[in-house]
Amino acid sequence: MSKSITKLSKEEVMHVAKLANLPLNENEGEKLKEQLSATIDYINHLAELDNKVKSLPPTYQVTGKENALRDDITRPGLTREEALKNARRSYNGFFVVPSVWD
Amino acid sequence: MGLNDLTIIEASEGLKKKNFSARDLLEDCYRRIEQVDNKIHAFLALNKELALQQAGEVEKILNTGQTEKPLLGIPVAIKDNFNTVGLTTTASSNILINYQPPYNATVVNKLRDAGAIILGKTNMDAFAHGSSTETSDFGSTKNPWNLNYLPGGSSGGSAAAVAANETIFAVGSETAGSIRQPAAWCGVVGFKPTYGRISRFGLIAMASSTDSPGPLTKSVADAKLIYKILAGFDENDATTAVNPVNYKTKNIRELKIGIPKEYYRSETQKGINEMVLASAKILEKLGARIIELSLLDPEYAISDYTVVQRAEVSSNLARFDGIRFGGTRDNFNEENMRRIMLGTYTLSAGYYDAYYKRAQKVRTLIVNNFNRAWKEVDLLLAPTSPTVAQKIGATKGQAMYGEISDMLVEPSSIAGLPGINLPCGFIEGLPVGMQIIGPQWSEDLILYLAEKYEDNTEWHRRKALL
Repeated sequence: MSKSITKLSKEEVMHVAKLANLPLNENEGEKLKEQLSATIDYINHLAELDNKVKSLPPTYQVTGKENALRDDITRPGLTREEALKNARRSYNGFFVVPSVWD
Repeated sequence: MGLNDLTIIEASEGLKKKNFSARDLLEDCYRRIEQVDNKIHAFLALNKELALQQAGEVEKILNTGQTEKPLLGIPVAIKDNFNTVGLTTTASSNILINYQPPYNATVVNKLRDAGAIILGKTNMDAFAHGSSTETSDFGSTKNPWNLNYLPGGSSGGSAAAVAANETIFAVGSETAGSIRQPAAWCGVVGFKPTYGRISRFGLIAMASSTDSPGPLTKSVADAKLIYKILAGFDENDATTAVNPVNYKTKNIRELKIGIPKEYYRSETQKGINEMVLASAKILEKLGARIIELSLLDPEYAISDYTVVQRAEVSSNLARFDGIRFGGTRDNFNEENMRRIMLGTYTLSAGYYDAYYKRAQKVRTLIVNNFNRAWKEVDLLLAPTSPTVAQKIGATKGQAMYGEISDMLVEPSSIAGLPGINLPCGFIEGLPVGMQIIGPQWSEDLILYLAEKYEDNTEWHRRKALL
């Protein structure tokens, strides 16, 4: 891929990493800065089609299915034991989550 | 020749006629795995103990003569992103290295209900993020035709297991090329049905708006059999079609087959376009009309798919919080991180319209473009991949490698269309694949033409020597 025109800053990359909840170190951030900029450059050529798509609706569901809802009836799901069996930590039948307040 | 070499249809017949037992069949597959899988690395986990027990139960059923189950006693290899109770399901990622699913994928339940026996789970790109199996956290799979080459991906383990006759058939999943491309590189049949035809329930999501499960097999007839078993509405997957209007099948003499010139690219490896066009000639001799036509350049689909897929990846992988299941987020590999990061960026405040929404409008353009083609022709014929299998190491450090190698399968995936890969030749001992693409719900028509082609060629009979 040629030299990128888009330049993400290191701060932007670290901000995105925070949004994505990914633990990035400085080195990885630096590397991703280059790679993401190059990919963004690549996908920016979609703008070439703007004239052709400006009056088109977006397609979010490709077979056209809409509002596929089932009847609002409760039914059995996983047992507590099944739900907890893959958790790294549980306590008294509950998931243990990291503390939210410092 | 071992029983592991058989197709589903041949193996079923042999079982019913009692030429051999379900245990014989299963043991031949495991023997083959023991012989060759240390070289190929198609499998991540084996299910030997349970499988042998199941084979014993099959014997009892066969002895009572009740053989209405279409896959009774047939061994299957399952891509490791389908949840299997009792068998670790990792999606080839360290983050799920110990994951024990509490429920089966619908695909797995349907195979089991049909009587199939799960041999084991197959390698893939981690979370299906790739087209080579090189992003697997557990080492890449090797191509059975030449061990210095990649099998393609992401369903590379499934394709290699079929090509090496380690199994009777396999299942994989495709988001954009992940069944057809490894099938092409490994010289097997790979069928991706219409989006919503087969349930995604219990399939670890990559891009939910295009993920489609499907079979990898040794023949078109086998692919058809598995497709019929797996297809259908599932109340656990709201995107599965309830009663789709199936596209009408036609006699080959009434069929118009399109040759989209933008898919026969000048940069495609020498020999591939020629082999696919030679196949078109065979279909023409059988009575089909071959019509050249023009479609949107598939290059636009690369960008379009990249935006849509990365966005959906970032959203789907957000659920991996290391609390309810799986390890912590530092276990994602480099490729997973790249995809999550790009998706998070394009969905973040201020960028949604410029990327995701724009990409979904381009998706409409691609859908409309295909719909125009269906006014002129019934099906399309094109190379599946612009190259034969690439050497091991080819993908290292290439952020867009997979997308570029999947260029010819991405437009149809983005449009939710069904497509099949068929072996159609060899270049220096490596298989060449071609694809037949059709309108949504035209699976029967695609399979009809694919079977005609297979009946009149011998490529699918060639086997990798190991």
